[in-house]
Amino acid sequence: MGSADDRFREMFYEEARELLISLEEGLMELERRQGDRAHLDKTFRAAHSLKGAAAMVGLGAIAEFTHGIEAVLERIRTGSLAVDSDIITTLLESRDHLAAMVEGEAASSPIPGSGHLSQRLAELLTSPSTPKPPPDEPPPAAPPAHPSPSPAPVPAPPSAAKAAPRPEPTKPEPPKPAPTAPTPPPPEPVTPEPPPEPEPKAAKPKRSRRKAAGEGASKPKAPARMKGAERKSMPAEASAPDEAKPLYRIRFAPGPDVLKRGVNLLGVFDELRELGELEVRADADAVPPLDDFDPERCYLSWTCTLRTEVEPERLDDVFLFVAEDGAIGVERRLADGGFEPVETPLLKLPRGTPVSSPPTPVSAHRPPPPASSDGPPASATAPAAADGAAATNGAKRPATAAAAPTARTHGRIRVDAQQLDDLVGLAGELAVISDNLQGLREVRSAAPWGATLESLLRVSREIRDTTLDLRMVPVDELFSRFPRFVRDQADRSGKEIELRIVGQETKLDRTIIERLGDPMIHLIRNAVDHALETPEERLAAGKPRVGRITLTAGHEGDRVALKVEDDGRGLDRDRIVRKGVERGLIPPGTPADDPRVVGLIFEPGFSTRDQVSDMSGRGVGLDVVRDSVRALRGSLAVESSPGKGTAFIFRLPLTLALIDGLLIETGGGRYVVPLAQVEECVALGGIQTALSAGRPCVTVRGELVPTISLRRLFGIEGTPPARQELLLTRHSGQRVGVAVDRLSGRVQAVIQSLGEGLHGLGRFSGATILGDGSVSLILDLAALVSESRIAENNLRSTPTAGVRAETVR
Amino acid sequence: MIDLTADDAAERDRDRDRAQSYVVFRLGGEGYALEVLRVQEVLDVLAITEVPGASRCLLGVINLRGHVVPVYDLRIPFGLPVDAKPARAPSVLIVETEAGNDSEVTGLLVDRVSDVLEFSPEQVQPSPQLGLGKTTPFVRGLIRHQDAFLLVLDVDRVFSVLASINGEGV
Repeated sequence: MGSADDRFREMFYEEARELLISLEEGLMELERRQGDRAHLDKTFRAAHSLKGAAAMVGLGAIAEFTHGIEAVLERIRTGSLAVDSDIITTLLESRDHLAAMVEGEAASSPIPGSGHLSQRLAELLTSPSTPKPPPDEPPPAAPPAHPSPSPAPVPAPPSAAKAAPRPEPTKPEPPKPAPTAPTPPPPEPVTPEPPPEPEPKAAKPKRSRRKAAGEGASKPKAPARMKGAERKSMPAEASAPDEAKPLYRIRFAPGPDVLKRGVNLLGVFDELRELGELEVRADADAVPPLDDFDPERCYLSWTCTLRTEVEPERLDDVFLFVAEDGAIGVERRLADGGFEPVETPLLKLPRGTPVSSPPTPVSAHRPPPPASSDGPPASATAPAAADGAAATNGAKRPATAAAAPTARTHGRIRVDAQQLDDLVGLAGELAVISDNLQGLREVRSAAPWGATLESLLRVSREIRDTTLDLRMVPVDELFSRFPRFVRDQADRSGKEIELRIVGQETKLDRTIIERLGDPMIHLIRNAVDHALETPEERLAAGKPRVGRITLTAGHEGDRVALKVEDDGRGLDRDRIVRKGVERGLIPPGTPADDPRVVGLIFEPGFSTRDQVSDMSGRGVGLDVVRDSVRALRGSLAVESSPGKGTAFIFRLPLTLALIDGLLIETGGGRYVVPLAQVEECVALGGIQTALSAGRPCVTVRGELVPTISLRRLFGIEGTPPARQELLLTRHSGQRVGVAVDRLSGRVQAVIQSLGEGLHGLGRFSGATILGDGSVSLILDLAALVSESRIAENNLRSTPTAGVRAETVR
Repeated sequence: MIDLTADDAAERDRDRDRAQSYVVFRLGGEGYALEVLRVQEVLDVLAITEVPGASRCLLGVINLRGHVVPVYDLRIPFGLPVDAKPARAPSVLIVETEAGNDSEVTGLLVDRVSDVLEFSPEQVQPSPQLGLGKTTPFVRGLIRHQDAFLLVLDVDRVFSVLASINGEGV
């Protein structure tokens, strides 16, 4: 059992981490979306789920501390506490402490709850600030609701927070509490009555059901019984005097494995009871004879009558932990005594059927409850049961499947990242192997397997593409940590900053997402520290008081572009020029609007501490940022206009495992050039080669383009073919041509590392195995161009203007 | 990984009394021996993809069942003349780059693999400090065999030197 406990703990940690993230996101947004009820609910639910999950695995300290946060959220939710920045800060700090507690547990060095924070949370609970509803209403409403029905609400911690509120519905009916007093009697006679009646009948279905385990024949009987029970109860309820508070009928059939998951079902009823007057009737029909009884299985289902003023959405919280595999149907009693189904965000989920018969799936789990009402579910389960050898299982599965189709589509599993990467690699190899086999199709004697070979090719490519897709995650995973970061940075710097995020659903390779965090943090911190002005400065400059940082993600061809943009003061070009000249990176007299100027900020060590003035401190370690982007086969560009702002643009491949490449030949060797690096290919046949500043150049549509010969760079002897091809690439904003012997087509290449020994060779970013089984090296054009420039510069004593600036490596 | 290495070491300890197997190969007219534990397989060279700009020791990379593996020519660090037109196709030893780690391998080009032989530890004599020319640092012992000496290759040393040559690069 110990291992099972560990497993549950592990699951808890993972779940907790996710919940903590949504809690943080929720809190961050709370300030801006004050009136957004759904958002608030979502945030609350994150805290609530976390509390429940922690309690479930026996982490009492975490549950207790979470409860403090939950209670404050609850208070905000009921409108008795207005959100302000201080509250959010307290909640965020508490969340951080909570995260530390969770990680502490995960690392087996538990951290206690923070008394200081708990106290601040408690103060928020008792603080009098009550913006919306008059405070006197809820209290009177609450007490009368409780005492009348059976057991008084357990004075559990949440009750304090929950009982107090209840603002909106109460408002119109402050005097109602009084009429509520007579309420208790009606439900009482109602519920006791039905049980005795069905009892004798219930015995029969029970027995027949046992047989049904083999034949699935008991279905028709069960419905009959249940219908009777309902009819019994309904008139009784209808006869009750008109109540002020709405009456709900809740059918609750937890999943059979609910007990194994460690859910305390009594807690559900306790929570319901806190909402209003509650009558519960258990349906024990499904309990099998002792011989067949599985003690770890939940055979019971319940019908509850709840008289409450709270909105039905509140029921979601109650059933949060059991809705997943259980069936819950909520109906509201209408004026005419009939019932209409109620939909809430959560309870809507399991409903696969149209609104007309919402309570039906309620009972889907075990044969007996399904019987509860109309035909459809019964008829649906019956055939299913009939065809299955084991009727119970047969009936159960299709029913659940039908009941929770929406839930199914959200089904996710966690997998080990390393295994996933291995799988991607293997899938790539499989695709290559099947490519290799395609050669067989030209072998006459292999003709009978032609179709098979074709299928193999198709399937293996699909496998490769699908596994590659598995590595893709939305950029949101990266972006979602920044709102908090920006907020903290803004607090720290005393600036007012708004963060906008666009396109967070764009997907990127998981590895890229993981490695982009630090570079982006770097850029954002720069933006906060140096680019954005203080509110006073901004107002003086005629800009809005609040500075803005925008994170944008989107597709750009076959790449993904991420942009970190601010509306601050922009780069100080004059200063950069001065600095550049000082360091000999650009020739004196370079105009400030020279396109090379902004590129200088990426020079290693370009911006040193003495430069971090109030005017311009951009460029601190930007070379590191750029290098990390390059390591991901991406590029980093900067755009800036004085006084308007600066934008850093990352351009990244969709995935690291695969590239679209151009297969080229030079001097007998075949190489792959990433298509993303090639802007254009032109035939070099008739074009006159000229020398410009000692460098070979060609004219392409009137533009003088410096060229590099791959043959020369690789030291290949012999005469090149009469008609070479020129790959045009862009390096530091300038077009450069790379001359190769021949283009042999496009390939999709699974990239392999060249291994540690060859990392020094920057010109090759990896290797790939071609369809014929030979290895081909992947050329990094950017590195090639840099390399050749460095080589040229070494030959030349005096650097020409601009050359050095481009050899940024 | 560490465990494996430890296991191997333990195994080697246990084998100390018993004989150990060596792959015996020829390179530039000399006979060499390399612990069989480090050798995954022996291949006949098929197609080698050259890596322009890499050090001369690196013959190129090959496709070993879907993995790209570098192949080095030991003649260069050993100061042996490179035979541009060998009489017969050379062989490649696929050697674990680190003892006990079978996921990273390196190819070493040799003239010919002749045998796998067992020698007891006593048969391995310490190597002379001099007299083997450039090969000296890569030899950790001598084994007398059929009126000649086999040079016991210190393959870890070989790899560390190759790595440093590559580091200087290009």
